[in-house]
Amino acid sequence: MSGAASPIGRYWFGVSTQRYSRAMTLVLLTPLLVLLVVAFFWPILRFLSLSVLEPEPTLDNFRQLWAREFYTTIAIRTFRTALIVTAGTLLLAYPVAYLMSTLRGAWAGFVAAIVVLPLWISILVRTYVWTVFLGRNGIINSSAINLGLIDQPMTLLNTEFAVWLAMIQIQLPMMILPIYSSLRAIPPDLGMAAQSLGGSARDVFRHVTLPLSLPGVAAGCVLVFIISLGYFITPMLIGGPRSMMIATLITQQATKFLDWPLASALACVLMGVTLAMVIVFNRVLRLDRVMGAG
Amino acid sequence: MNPKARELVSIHGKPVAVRGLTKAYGAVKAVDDVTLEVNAGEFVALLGPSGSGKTTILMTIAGFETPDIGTIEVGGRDITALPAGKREIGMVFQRYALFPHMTVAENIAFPLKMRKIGGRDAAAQVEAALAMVRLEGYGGRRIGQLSGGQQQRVALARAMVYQPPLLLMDEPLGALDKNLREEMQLEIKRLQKKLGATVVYVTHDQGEALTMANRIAVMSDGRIQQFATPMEIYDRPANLFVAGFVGETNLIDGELARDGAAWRFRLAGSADTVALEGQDAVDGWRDGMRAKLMVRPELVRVGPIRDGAPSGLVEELIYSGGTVVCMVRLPSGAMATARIAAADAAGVTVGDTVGLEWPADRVRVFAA
Ligand SMILES: Nc1ncnc2c1ncn2[C@@H]1O[C@H](COP(=O)(O)OP(=O)(O)OP(=O)(O)O)[C@@H](O)[C@H]1O
Ligand SMILES: [Mg+2]
Repeated sequence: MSGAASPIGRYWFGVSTQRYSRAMTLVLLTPLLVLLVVAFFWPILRFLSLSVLEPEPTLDNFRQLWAREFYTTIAIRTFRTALIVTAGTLLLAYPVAYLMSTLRGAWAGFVAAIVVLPLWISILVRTYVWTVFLGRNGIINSSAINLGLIDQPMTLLNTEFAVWLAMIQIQLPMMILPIYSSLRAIPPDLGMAAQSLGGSARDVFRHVTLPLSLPGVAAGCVLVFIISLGYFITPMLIGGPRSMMIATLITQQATKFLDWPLASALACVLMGVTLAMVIVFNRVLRLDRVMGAG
Repeated sequence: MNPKARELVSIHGKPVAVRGLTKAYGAVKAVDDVTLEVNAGEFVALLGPSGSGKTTILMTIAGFETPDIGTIEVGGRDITALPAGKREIGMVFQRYALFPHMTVAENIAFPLKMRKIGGRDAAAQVEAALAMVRLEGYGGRRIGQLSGGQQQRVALARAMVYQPPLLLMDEPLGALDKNLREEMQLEIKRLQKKLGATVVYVTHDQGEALTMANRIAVMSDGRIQQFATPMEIYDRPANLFVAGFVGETNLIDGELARDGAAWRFRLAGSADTVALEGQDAVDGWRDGMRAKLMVRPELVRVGPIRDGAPSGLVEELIYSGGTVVCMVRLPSGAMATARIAAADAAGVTVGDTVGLEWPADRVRVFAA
């Protein structure tokens, strides 16, 4: 088996490379590999190398990041946001995925459409929609005032909270779909077996459904966490300057202050952490083990 | 045997009664007024073609389907309204349904855990169950590391470890190859006998049903066609469906002919008749009524032509070890098959016209 097929990779593509010979795999992959190297890896390496090569070989850029509280605060905020968003998405997504996995026929298609449709709408639009809800005269504030719950409009926009909300909502499908597909992959006779062996509906969920859906949960969490780390538009539009995240900072350094070496160092940190997360997730969760070695 | 295995020597099998069970899916009556009484410690096979309602009956007994009409009793207690988890019924599934995220031991301990049995007690019972299915030392394995046969043994151990009075199995050997199937048939039978469990076993493999079951319920179209011992089913099938479904058989067209107090059978397309003895359903018979005669190939003897007795043209001789299958074209144009000893086939060659004979009391005639 090809060592490149990580559990997550196998998970997403639903096939393993086992079915093709090594040569065939290579032939099929070549166009993509060429494109990746020329248009992706090369420019990225060039950009990242700036951090240690400009103006001369140095680690100063990294030292500067570490030394200035401004940067560490943003880094911590970015991780906190990614964690909270991942947790929030998981909490909201699991029940939906579970419901979807129990539905059949027309209802299943209907719910799936509701889940997937937002993916066809630009993130920009989906982010702006939240300003309608959260603004000073937005739906939430005006409703609360009309109901007499508050006198003054609350500041909802331009807070970290607003960013969490919007990011969770936008990324729901990314969490729902992998969980749903791992739930659907559980053979129904496992649940029946657990019941016939004396389990209640709760036991079935706790001892069979939940553990067997963990690969999907893990895949969803990795995906949402990693995407969240690099989120750009949403924090910038509705988080305001006080909720700045790393991606925004990188853009600022590169385009506003033209400090490319520093932007590059920031990007290095973001990418390094992201890669480390993927590796740790794969190792710790042993996604392949959860599904049994068969 | 492992000394701990003694703790699991008997399951107190209970009698099961399914009464007037009916279950429809839309317009399809999957099960149609089925009544089935199984004795304590008895092994009953539900045998029938695909779609005949076997699984539906089993699922209803297990509590995964609710009957439209009818009741289920186990040990004299009506369990029709109980949820599956409260029925104390062991179930073995076609694809084993083992939990892939648990070890072998954890799988077998699952029903114990559900009953709040843990620690040493549970460990000892799991050990005993493993010994019972001859998988000592496999407790720590992952399910994916086992062969199909081993997985089925684990499934058996898991379904038996809590000593349920009734075991249900839905084609448990369907996914295994032939040799392993036969080995597992004996294994399951051995366990069932030793433990005294009541078993309802679904299969569409008649050989399996004939070798394993104390009694067989032959099903078709949601109804039980016959419920009897394997011998009875084979020798005295209740109707044409059972006759054709179980075992190899000749169904010869013809009509009934009155012969004083007795009956004879006239083969279609000829004046040849054979005597009939010991038939069940003679009440409704009339002279000249169209009928089918069922005779097992191994009962047919091939010999010289005799006047007034059936005869035909030998079209093919197929040697299969100790016996020879002799295909004979009857005057009606239909084929009859005789399975004869190789020694008796010595004088027979393709193209011969031969006489056919069989014991008058071993054939069955069904008015058609
Ligand atoms: N859940 C269901 N919904 C609709 N029809 C069903 C359902 N389950 C079974 N049936 C129908 O009921 C009939 C009996 O099905 P059942 O599964 O009991 O047959 P079976 O004897 O077990 O067949 P097989 O040997 O193929 O397993 C079939 O016609 C089947 O199509
Ligand atoms: Mg079935």
